[in-house]
Amino acid sequence: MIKLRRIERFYPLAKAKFFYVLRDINIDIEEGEFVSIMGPSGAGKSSLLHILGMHDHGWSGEYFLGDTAVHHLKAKERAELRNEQIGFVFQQYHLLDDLTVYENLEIPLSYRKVNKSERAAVVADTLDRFQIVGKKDLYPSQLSGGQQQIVGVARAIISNPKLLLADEPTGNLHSSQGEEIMNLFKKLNADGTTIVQVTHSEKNAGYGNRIIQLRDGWIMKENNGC
Amino acid sequence: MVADLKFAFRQLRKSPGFTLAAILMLGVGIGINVAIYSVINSVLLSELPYPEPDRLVAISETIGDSTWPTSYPDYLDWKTAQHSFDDVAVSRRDDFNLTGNGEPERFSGLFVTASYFRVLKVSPKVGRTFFDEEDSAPGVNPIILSEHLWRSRFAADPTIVGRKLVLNTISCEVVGVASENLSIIRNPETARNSQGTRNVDLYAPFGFYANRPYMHDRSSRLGFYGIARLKAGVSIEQAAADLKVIARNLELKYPDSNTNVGIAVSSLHDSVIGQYRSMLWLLETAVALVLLITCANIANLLLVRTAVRKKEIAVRAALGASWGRLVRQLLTESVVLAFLGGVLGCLLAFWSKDLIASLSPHDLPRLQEIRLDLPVFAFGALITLGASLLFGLGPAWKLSKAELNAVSKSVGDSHPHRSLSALIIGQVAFACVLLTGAGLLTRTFRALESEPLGFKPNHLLMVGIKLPGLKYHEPSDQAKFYEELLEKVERLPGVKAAAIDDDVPFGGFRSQEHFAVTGQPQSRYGEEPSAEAHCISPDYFRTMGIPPLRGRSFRRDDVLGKPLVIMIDEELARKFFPGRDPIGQQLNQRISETDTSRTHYTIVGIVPSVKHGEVGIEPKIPQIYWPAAQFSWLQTTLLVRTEGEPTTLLPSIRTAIRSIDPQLPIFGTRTMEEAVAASLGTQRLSATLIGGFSILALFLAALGLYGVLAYSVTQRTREIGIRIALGSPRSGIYGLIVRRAMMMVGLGIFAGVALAIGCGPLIRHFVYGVAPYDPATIISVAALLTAIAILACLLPARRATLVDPIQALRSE
Repeated sequence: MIKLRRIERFYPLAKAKFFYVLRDINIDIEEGEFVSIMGPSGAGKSSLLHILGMHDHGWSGEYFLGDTAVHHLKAKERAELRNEQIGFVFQQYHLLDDLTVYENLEIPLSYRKVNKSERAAVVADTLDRFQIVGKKDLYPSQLSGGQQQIVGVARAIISNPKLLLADEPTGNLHSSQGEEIMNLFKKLNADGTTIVQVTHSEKNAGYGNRIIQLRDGWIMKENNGC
Repeated sequence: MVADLKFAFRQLRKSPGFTLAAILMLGVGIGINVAIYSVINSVLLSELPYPEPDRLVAISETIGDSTWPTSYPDYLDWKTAQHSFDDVAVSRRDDFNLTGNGEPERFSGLFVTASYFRVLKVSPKVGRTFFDEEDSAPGVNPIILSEHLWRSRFAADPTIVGRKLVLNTISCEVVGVASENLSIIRNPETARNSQGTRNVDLYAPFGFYANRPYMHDRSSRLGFYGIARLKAGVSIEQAAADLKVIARNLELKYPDSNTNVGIAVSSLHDSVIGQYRSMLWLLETAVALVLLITCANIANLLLVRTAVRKKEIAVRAALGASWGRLVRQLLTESVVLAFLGGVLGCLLAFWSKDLIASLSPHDLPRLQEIRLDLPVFAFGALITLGASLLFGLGPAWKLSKAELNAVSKSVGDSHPHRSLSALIIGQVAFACVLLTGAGLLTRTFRALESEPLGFKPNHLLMVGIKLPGLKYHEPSDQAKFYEELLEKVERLPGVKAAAIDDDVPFGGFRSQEHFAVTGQPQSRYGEEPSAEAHCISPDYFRTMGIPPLRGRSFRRDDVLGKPLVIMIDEELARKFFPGRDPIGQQLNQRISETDTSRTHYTIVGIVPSVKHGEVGIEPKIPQIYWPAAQFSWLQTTLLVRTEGEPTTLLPSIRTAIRSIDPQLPIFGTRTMEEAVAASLGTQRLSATLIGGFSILALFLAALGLYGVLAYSVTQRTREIGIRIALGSPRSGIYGLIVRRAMMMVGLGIFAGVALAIGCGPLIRHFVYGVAPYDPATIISVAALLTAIAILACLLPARRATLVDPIQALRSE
């Protein structure tokens, strides 16, 4: 599903020097995989995730998503592809503070020009699926961290993406809440969603089937998880 | 879109302080623009309220470069010979004393031809207009009341038609009531009525005048002004060409009176409001600058908020919002904000309608038409939308570029955004332009106010008197009345001196007379020099406080039958008698077209040049004084020099007049100081309004600077903390903040001064007694802006010095 070849990301420094964040990244991820990217701080994990999520455009190399050569796409085409195929879960949840749970779930659909009645049906299904119907009129500040992240995951998958990217999804949660989220991921993966997560936690990495270790921007090793 | 609106309202509710401040600023900015535009729309842009108004023109005659009224015989010839107009009409201002119906009262009147109503295509509100035969025969002495007189004096009596009124001792019959919109068209010489406006109170046909010599004398250009309606498809240029041929034929046929006399035609709309056009656009420019500064201020506030909202926008982008969608949402917020400001602005403009009308010069035509109607609200909506784009687009653009990746890693800008600095520079520059304009206009006003008048305006009372022609037909009757009046008034306790002048000082119109110097080659008719003319009583100069320079003043024996004498001013003496003593020399005048002989007047005295009309504006015109007792004058101004407050003497002066003629109304009573002040009304209005707007601009610019600096201090807390921890003294921190502010303000002042100098040619004809690039004004403005900017920096700078380094570093 994902093929990365010779991906590099660097920032220019003074005197024509460069600071490399990612170097010569070559990764293949098959459909239905649950991959965890690990490594110490500054290893380039989040940078790699943002390249996969097409939030970052300043890289070089080749990136294929399915049959599409992302590296040949213009920014607008990448945004369309992202909207169609990718969902994102953030460590800080990044729910919109001024919107209710219902509105937070609705917003990705409105950006994809789904009509109002269809939006209502999909949001209602999702609220039901994640068992948060009772919270639909609450604002993020009225939810616990775990509940906020459940809404974050629900929002990420509401437009039915093929690929779910998660950046330290349990980083701000208690262990029990983290477990709940990881089980949710496991279930989504079992239902066919490809997942790539960045994590520091060996335990969370264990929920996936492959681990990619990064250090100083290089892939150190790849191994199967559990 | 509904979701965007809902979210926009939610955002505004979330920051009530910002929302309130922005709405208030926008309300004031939009409000003053709408208010001034309502005046421009009603006075300048709206068509005259008559059918097919673009076909209406004003016609006058020209002699050399100057515009003159026409003569009645010339008008009759135009009317017959022209091919360009559906109809032509003429009017002449004269005033009426209404007696026999309670207190005698004086009204502003306009004599018009019957065609006047046809040209304007107005129907009377009640009754009829005049018949053509009433142009030449008095008939029943018909009169038509203006609507406001009918309502105010006769309580809108529906049976007014047929009512007999005694006007100027003649019994007249009311034949109709003119609709209110007729009063917009005024004769250039129309006097102020009792309300202080130049609106006409009543209309009379020329039949009243049928036997007056000037109705038949082609050279008597005594206040007749023409209007006409162009034929369909005929342009003003074609009409002008037609009239040019007529003028040429009249010149050939009547060389004595019409040599060098042309006929000028212009749009009636321009002739009614033309002189106010530039002042009104100047005011609109000033308020537009205030709105620009307001927009810059709100853009500043929005930019400051971008730091807070970057994450939200980045998340939206990460969730799939396109760039256009984000900009739309952010602009929706700006539009909602501007809409609320616009609503407040329109309300403020509506509430300030009466204030604007009262501030406007009373001479301003169509003042009563000022209203907030659909075009004004459309303008309000347009500038509201424009403002929202102006202040919203920049921040929306900037914010829509926020990327989650960058946001999550940003540690805050160490300096205010470049765009914030640019906006501050722009605000300061615009404020500088406005302040310079206000400074120049204020200095102009002060220069005019302090300009020497040539006489002492304090303790001087003016009272208008109009003798009815029938009763005071003979000059000897008039002379007797004036003599008796002056005797009685001079005897009143508290009166130092009294005199009469046929002119109304600072009344907005000055009569001029052609003359020639006896013994020098005579110029052709129309090319003779002219002088401001005054018929005065012997004590005039003592009453006015004008010290004669040479020769003698008029005496009580300078009367009819005695040698004709005049006094001249020093300007006339300098111009026409260089190196010679004018005393004993003579000036002469041709009395009428048919009279080829000339009347000679001996110069007996020279006086200083005196301002009788608008202060400062007029070119220097020579002045000639005639003794009133040698002429016939029905309308005059009684001038009374008093020991104390002039108006306290009004009742006893009224009694003195009534004791001579109980049927005589008095009018136009005001002190000379009031008259002088009123003549500066337009300048005062411009200086006051633009001064007010520039203070508002200064306040807004200071507020903007304060906001940006306060934000900058917050953003730089860590840096300031490190500096303090490294040993920077508090003064160093002060300097850090103030230096940055002064750099922005300095650039703003530089740009503003350059702009103000660039605008110099535009403001040139608004200033008097001061150069449009007056260095003193520019330096004062720069100093004021710098001082205000320093004040605006003090609080943020002080806050910066109080940063606790440990706290600041821990917070990072």
